[in-house]
Amino acid sequence: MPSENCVLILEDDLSTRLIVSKSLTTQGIKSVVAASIAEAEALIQKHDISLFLLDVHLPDGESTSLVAKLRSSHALVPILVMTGDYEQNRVSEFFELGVRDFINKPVHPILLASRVRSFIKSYETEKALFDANEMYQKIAHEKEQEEELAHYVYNHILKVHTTKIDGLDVVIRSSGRFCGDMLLSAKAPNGSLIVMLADATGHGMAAALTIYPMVSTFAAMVSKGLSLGAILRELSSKHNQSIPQNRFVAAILLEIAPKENTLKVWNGGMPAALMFDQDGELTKVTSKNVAIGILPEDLISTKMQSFDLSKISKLAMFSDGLIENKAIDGRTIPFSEGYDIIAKNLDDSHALLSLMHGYEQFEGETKDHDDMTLAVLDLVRIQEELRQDEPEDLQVPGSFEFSFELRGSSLNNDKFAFSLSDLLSTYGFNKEFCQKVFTVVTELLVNAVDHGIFNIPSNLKEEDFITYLSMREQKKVAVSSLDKVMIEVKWNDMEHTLSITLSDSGAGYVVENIEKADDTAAYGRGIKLITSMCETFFYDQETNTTHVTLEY
Amino acid sequence: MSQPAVISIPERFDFSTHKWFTEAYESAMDSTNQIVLDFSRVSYIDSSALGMMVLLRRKLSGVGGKGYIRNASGTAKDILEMANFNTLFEYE
Repeated sequence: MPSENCVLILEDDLSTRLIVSKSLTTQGIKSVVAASIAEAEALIQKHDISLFLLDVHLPDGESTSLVAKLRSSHALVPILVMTGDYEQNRVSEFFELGVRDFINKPVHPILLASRVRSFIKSYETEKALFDANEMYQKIAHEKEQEEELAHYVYNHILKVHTTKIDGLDVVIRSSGRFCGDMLLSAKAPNGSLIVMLADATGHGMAAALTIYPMVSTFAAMVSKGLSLGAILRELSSKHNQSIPQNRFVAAILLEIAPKENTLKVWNGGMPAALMFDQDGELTKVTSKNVAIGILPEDLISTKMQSFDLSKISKLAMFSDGLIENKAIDGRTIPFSEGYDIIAKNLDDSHALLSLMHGYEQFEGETKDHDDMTLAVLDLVRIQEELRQDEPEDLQVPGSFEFSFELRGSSLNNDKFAFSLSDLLSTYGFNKEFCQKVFTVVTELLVNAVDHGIFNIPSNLKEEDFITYLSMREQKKVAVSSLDKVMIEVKWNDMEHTLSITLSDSGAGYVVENIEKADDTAAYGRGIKLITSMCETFFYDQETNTTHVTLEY
Repeated sequence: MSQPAVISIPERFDFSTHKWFTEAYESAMDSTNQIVLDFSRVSYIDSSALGMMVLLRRKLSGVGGKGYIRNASGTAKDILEMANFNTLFEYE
């Protein structure tokens, strides 16, 4: 175990050696002594030396050779040399070698000790500074590596989850390596384009990190065919689950739906989106909501602002970095003026970004730029591209048919219709068709079970819903193993038709009665729904079998 | 006019939802006579959902209130239109 913080005294003259070491000991400074260079070198290995006190001439050579070695092995440790008058002419030589100071012989014990003490003290400060700097270098290196990884992930996520589309022009100017703004776009299965511009609190990696969870959620929810409102809820829920409560994401969500001829906008905490009609008339779609992360997802408003898509030619949206804290000739630009400047310069988005960047106003000494993102959507071109994607591939290769027979308690499985439509989706039928099948099968089943088998009068739903429910519960418990429903599903790939046949062990029904029900009645809609969704509907009273076909 | 309450309906709006749905609008109607039915998440709908909506509409009318439909899309929207529900509820 090396003894710590001691002074090495190299002196061949015994009396000087004793005076020096004693004077240090009196002052509470530990020391080790050597009478030759060889001895000194041996001691250096064993001790943690905080100062060298060297004589010049020694039996085995001059201490200059040792000084040269020490400069590389003990770079920061101060070296003091004890000299006699006759050696004064060599002072500059020693200084050049790296010696810090000289002590004149004969030594003055008190002066020597306080000098040594003062050098040790400054050595300690220097060493602490050096260590701190080394630690800093290490941390900086680690941070650099972490950022490298984060940046890779950041770029990768963006690349994977963004759909390139003609007519959507995006320019981003980031204040640093990471951007707290993000523009995402994805085509939905129903032929709509969903676009999101998000801006997280702050900037840099923390802001980028705040947005990460939303990115993959966004892409997954769009491809699942969720509506804009449902996507918003999912994003909000994902954000609330994974991001600390004091971090928010302002966002604009858009749905461009050529099929419905609508443009839906949800603006939560972003500057207004600028919308232009064919004549260049400007409408500002201002924020009506708070940013994502402020409210729990069940309180977030999914109310959209909806516009006639055919009337809009262009839309621009941007993060607040583009419009906030701007000044011209020292005069702060109000938002209204900022909007005008942006609206007039949208033809060259890169130039617009540089222009606005030039108006940046710095408060005090902080030169913190906010990230700037500008997205300009040419809605005519986007719609053209979306239309080109059609017609949707409606091929379902091969034919299939299967039949089910539900008996006794299995009639109470209220997930049957849903699972059947889910099963059909695995064959490649689109979501819309599967939703229709769900409704048709549900209606057929309810009709067969509630009315056919349970024999619950259909007008009871209307007159006394509570009684209807309790009656249904009773019948469910009392269901007999002889009660059954037979369902046949048949896909004909030549005719593109799905036939569903359903019969039950009940008493059957009279179609006319039900068709009479009007819109405001709470019952009798089932058969009406079926007939309106199916190409053919036929009820065979003889066999108590309903036949329907749906065209795909 | 009181602040409308928003009821966010799940993906499947069918018979299995009735208990939840009835409780949701009954508790909402303790404090408002304006109810927004948020269809954002609804993909699957059947006639019992329509029936439940009719009952809600009747309760709302009884207290001089009004019902709204928000973000209906796809088949759910088609079915609501087929049933002429624009005469019972206002589309937002």
